[in-house]
Amino acid sequence: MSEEARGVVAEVLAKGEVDGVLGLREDEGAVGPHYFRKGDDLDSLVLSPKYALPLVLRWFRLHSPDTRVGAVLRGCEERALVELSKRRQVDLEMIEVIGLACTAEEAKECGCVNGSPTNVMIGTPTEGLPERREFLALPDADDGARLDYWKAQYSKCIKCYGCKNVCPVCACEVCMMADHGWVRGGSLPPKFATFHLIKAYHMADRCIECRECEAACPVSIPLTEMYGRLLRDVERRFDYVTGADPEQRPPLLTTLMDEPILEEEEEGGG
Amino acid sequence: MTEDEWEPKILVFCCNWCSYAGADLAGVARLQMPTHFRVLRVMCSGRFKPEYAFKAMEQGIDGVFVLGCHIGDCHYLEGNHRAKKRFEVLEDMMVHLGVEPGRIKIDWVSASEGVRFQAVITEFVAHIKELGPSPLGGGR
Amino acid sequence: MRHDEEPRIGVFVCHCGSNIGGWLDVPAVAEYAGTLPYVVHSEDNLYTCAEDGLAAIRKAIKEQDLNRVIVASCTPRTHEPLFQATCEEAGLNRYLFEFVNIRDQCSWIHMSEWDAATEKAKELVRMGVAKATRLVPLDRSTAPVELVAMVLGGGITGMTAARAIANSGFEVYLVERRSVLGGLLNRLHKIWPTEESPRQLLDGLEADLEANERVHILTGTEMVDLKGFVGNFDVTLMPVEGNGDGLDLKVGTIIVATGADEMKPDGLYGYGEVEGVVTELELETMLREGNLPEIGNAVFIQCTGARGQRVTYCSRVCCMTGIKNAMELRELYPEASINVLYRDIMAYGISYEELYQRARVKGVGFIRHPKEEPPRVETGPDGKVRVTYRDVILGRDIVQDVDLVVLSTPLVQHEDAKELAQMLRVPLGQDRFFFEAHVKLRPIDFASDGIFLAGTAHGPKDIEESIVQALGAASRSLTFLKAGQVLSEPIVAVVDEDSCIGCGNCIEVCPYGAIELKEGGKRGQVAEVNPGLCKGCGTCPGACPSSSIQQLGFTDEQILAMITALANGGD
Repeated sequence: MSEEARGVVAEVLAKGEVDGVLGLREDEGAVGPHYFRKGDDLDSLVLSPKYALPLVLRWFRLHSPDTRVGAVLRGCEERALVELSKRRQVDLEMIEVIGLACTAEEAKECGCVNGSPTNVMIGTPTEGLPERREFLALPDADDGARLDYWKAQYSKCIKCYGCKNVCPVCACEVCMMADHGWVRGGSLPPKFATFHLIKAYHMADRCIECRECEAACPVSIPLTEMYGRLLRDVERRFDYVTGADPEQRPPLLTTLMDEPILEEEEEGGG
Repeated sequence: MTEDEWEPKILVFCCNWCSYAGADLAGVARLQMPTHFRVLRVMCSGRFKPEYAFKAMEQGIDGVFVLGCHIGDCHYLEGNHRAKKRFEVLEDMMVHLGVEPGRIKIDWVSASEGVRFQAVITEFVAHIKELGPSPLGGGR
Repeated sequence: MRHDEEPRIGVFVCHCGSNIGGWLDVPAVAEYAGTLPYVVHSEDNLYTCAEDGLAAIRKAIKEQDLNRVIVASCTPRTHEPLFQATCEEAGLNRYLFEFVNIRDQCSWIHMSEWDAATEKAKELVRMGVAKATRLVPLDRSTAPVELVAMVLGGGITGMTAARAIANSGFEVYLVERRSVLGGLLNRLHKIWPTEESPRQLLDGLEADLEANERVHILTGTEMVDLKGFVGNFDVTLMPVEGNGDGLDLKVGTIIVATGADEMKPDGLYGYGEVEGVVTELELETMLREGNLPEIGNAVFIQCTGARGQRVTYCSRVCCMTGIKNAMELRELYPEASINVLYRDIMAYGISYEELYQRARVKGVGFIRHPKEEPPRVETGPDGKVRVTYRDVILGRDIVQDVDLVVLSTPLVQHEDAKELAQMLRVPLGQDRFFFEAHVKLRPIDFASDGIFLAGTAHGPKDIEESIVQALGAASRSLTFLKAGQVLSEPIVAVVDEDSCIGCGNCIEVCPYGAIELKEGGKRGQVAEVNPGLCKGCGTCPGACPSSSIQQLGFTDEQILAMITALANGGD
């Protein structure tokens, strides 16, 4: 598929509607982002492994706001771009998405349910993706088994920050997870109620379920089992879907008048 | 401390204009209630961030209660709307985590509702007593 | 953000006479405070707010070189300004003061739990010390006051307040939603104890108001929108009827004098069903218009709808209204039998008891009935009204057929008061009347600065009391107008430009449009707070994922320190 991609990128560059194209390049065995310009040798352009290009696109808004840039993005990356746009980190007007459809194998590996980008130019959208995500069955909450499950999972954490660093929608300069006022320093595993739950709360209205955090986690914590469940809650309560409409405001920023709570919460015993 | 001696430790965020005034009014009226809660005054319930609940519960606080102005009455127009929305997510997270969502609660008490303050506090304290020590607090 | 010197904290724990000291161990709390980090001085005072208590604070600041002060006492809502001023007098920035509430929210609500209340007070002080350690000096800024007042409600209260403000040299808008000024007084027959016509009172006031060019009378007008804060309110007024043009005003202060209504006691004592059953105001209208039927006997029923029947409170003016009108009927129909059925007579104050006695001497009958056995009213023979009531002295039921039954009903809040309260951002009490900031210490103020309260909007009052409160509210309003400027609290939001990425969450949640993006920071854009527009709610830090925006006086660092102090100390 890389060959197809090179052709598409060359065509886009030739048309001249963008000043250059952001994609991945293989250089002496290492793959990283590269800005291809018209006339550049495209032989080094590759499509995998996945690399969160949306965060790289922030560079253009900051340093070269007049540059029109094409970007080879997968479906999840396009959704991440939408979330970054809502948070004023990229300028969608200046970005042309060159949609890359994941192969059926890739989609399966990611457990993808959200599918291809809007405008697929490379590859063929995979048909028959599952309609909704199948979550792992969590242990029962009543006897504490569910909390024990999470404690066991989170206690594997070695605080490498891989989940944060790889996340295409984590855009902060300074992270609360690295602030000792919030997360007590000097011990492993980190206190999970602050370290992991703060992250989970911040993901509730922005995670686009690329599951890169899980792929990056060296100890295989099922992070998006929590994030994904919260996303479904937010969708149910506020009719809000991340990564879809750049104009839809994150529901935690709006009032009850703008977006009322659709489903009253169950009566907590308290 | 043994299980028998356990007494709940409860943090209550009160907004300056409504619920804190309602709490004061309960005092002026000498309305008696359990001692286990401590009020932390903020200007608006919109100041509450769910991250505080994580920090509190992680350190052994057994319940977090946020009290603001009734919807429509917020001194700052809509701060309580934000607080309410943040709480929705927070409560959902507690469910998925396997922590009783009743350990965190948001409610409204106006400046004239001393009686209501007494009622919601008494009920919350009783509920936390029923639930027992926070399973998020280390060392318990 | 830490203040650059090492904290030296002084803690003053107040007994408040026995209000605190009688219910928890104040000396033990003070002693405990002395063991906390950075506390270099602690003492207990009989009354910290009395001059010797304040002197002790000033002395300790000077002698102990304190750079933080904590008072553990009543509530910041009433006493924080006093202690802040005391710190300032001793050369300490007023925002290096922290209040710990151990009376209203501790000793008074845990009166049978000496040990637990003492422990709670200690923990609250520990939280206060944790916060005080992280306080930084702040400076208040000033903003000009729009030298115009607005009075909502053109009854006797509003008219009186407007006149007082105008006479002091300030513009005032008097807004009345009915087509005429005068409110409930328009419907009265005579005013007691002077026995003058209410017109005399109103005409004099109205003439004064019309003659004063600083007074702008807007009848048939109501407020539909309000924005802004003390000194700078933006008001939108609209005509009640039709689609006339609205009027936008800028005013510095607002007086709420919207009055009350007489309760219509539908379904009580035959009202609305039995011919010849009227309310006091309906009777006064008949008296004024001179169209009363011939009366051989009449009965007044006091406390109709009040004191537990429909509303819980005693409306306090209805007894005197009933007595006044009973006397009036007595004069008009010397042969008639006039009886007042009552549970208790509230002839309070200096002149009213005497009037009550006079009514008895003149032959008005006063007949007491038990609360549990209210009178019964039904249609009687020959167009009469049949009243059956229990006489507690005779101990039996009396059946009387009368020409007129007059129901003394309480004053009640307007049906739509909630809308106005929400527009003003001020509370209504349990009985739906407007609710003052503090019953004793700030009885004319609302908690929100620059909005004041007078007359029956606050609760049932007679004319004299309404006028007194109107003058009080005018005076409170003038305090701001004369000062010409207001000091604004510096508890505003501030942005850390090194960590802000300009995501704009804060902009979206700010109710005042006080935050904008500007160039700067590591991502080329950062949030910038206009401190003049920021009102210090703190909603923006609640929405910032990187804690880059903070509220001064309520920073994450301070709040987290309090949480940690509560959680970790004292086990």
